[in-house]
Amino acid sequence: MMLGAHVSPRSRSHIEQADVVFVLVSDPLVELWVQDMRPDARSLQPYYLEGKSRLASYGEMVEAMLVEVRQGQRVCGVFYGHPGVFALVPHKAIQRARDEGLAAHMEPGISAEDCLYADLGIDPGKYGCQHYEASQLMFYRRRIDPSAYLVVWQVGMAGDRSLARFSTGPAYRQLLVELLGRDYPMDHPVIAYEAATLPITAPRMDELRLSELVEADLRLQTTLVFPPAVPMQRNQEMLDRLSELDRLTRTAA
Amino acid sequence: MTNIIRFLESMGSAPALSRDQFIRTVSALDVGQEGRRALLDRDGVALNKLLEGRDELRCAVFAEDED
Repeated sequence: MMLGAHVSPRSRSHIEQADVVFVLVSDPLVELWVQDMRPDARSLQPYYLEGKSRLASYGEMVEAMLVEVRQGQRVCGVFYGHPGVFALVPHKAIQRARDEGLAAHMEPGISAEDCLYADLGIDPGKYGCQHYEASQLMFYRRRIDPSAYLVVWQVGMAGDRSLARFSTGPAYRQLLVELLGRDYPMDHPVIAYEAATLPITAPRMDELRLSELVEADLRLQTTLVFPPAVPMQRNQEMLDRLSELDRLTRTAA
Repeated sequence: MTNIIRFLESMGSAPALSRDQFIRTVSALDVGQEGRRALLDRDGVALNKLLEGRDELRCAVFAEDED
């Protein structure tokens, strides 16, 4: 979310009119901006602690919001970018409220993904686009299609199984690089991307090689973008079946 | 110091300032010498320090493996 830019009129109205506002964003100045709109806005940052399971923190964040909702307050949670993209807490809060018979609603926002397409000039429809969270990509057997774009999120804490750290290191990234090396050559270009959160700063768009990721400066907010490595392969069998279907359709007509 | 936040907000919603306009506008702001310097340098870290924002802000609210 860029300060002053990426908030819709509806979202702003919710922030201004809610009885209670909670905020969790990715830039301290953006947090100050929300607190300028609503001096009584409550930051969810104190629920994070290094070494404490993030799942526990998330549960406490959800409960903090639900306590107010149960008391009949109109509660607004302000979450970075899009509240429903790579964001467990807003989804859980809404689900919990609805399970308890309370009304809840999510307003869409402008996520880092949206900024990425604009800044990098990528159209996800051109070759297709896969999105994976870095650790999840490592923990599970996924089928990467190197003829499409690949976007890897939260790479700064890739491989963290404890859910209690906010960064891992080169040894963890080495494993990620080895995993990706099965589908991409080691000299394949990769863009380290960070959306601009202030209107006076520029996005980070550093082009690296896959092999350079191990020692690169990759933070929690860094996203990796892999351009396609191979051309799309035509599915001739399906094309032939479609041609046959077209022929039969014409004949029937 | 809300002047700095309000200026950033105005930049966010209407970014069509040329470099010269930006310098002139910032120079005329009532944000103190340090605030002016940080804005002209486009230095978010310095602005945050000046406004006493959080040193470190964590933004992960996603669990890659809920199970």
